[in-house]
Amino acid sequence: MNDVNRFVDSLIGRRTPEPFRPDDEETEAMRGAVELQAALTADTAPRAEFAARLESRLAEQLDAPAETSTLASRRRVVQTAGIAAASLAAGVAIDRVVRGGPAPETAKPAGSWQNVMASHEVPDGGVREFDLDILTGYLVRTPEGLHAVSSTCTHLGCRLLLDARERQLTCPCHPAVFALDGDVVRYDLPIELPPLPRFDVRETNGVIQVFVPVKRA
Amino acid sequence: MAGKSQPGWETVYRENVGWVHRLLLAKVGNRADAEDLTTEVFLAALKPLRVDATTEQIRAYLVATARTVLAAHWRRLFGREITTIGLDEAGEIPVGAGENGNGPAGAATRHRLEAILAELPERAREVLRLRFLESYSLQDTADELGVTLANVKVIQHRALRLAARAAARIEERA
Repeated sequence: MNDVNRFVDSLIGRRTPEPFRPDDEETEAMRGAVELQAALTADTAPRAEFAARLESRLAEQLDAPAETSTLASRRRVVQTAGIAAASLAAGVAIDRVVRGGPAPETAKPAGSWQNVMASHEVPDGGVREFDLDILTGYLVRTPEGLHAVSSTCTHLGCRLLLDARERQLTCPCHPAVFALDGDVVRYDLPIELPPLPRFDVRETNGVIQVFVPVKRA
Repeated sequence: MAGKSQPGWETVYRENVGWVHRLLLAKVGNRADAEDLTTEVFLAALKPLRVDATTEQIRAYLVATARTVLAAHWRRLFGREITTIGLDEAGEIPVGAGENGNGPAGAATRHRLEAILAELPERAREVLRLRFLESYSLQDTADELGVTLANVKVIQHRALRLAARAAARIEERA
């Protein structure tokens, strides 16, 4: 019984318990103590510093160069970085033109309209990812119309993932969340985070086209 | 979404670390151990995960890993399992509970604590309330209730066993 009391004291004091060999009754009492203590603490989120420390431990283990067949996504990182560099470069030009509202046709930088997908592939309220090698983004159809937003995080160029339930784009690399119109929803970074560039988009003969403002290399 | 956008392990980690930690915290009752076990789960589980695994597959696999890690933890300390993760507990994880994890803080669990205490005789309830909610020592609890230390130890021991059974009953009803 005294062993159980020490176990309870450790729980209440938030310490790791001392080992001993409980019998059936003691086991039941310990289970009751865990239930009660858990009911007091269980809803709390993990400490941010713990979550970050574990993530860097995982990165050490998983991003080892030898990995190819697992979730360790070295290849994807490299590939994403290539797209990111191009998209960021494109983003600078795009941002100047598109972000402040539609620019006159004559002021457009060199570039071309490129087919992305069929109009019916983006239903009302739908969000679809597209990939034009030099830039990637999402097509979004809202009551206001169709628009295209970059899927390259304006922080370090990671490819954003769609959270379909929240209708947001989240960065897999660092805490950053964007709205589907490109606005920053929230982020936890020591920098100013610009909104996502939007691309000009048009529909002709049932095909959605995105204006790619830089020529492909 | 187009087939190209396979989430990386960072996404899998971020979407799941919240509920894995919460599940283990509910099973061990202290944060230090919950963090250690969460670490064990992800170190063991992420490496062999296939890139194309579905969200459900990933959850099921993480629950299975957590079950094993928790069992090993209890056996290491006490030679037997004190709490276990049930086979059905994967289904109880609310969808999307992963990321920021800042749910309604404590409301549901506090309710659960009251529900457990409500099933106990008055003396048992008083002892556990003072011990767990007010963090009283055994001696302070004895003084507060006007009984001897030996007496309060007996009451607590019995009360905890009753609490375990009450919790199990509440679980069944849910």
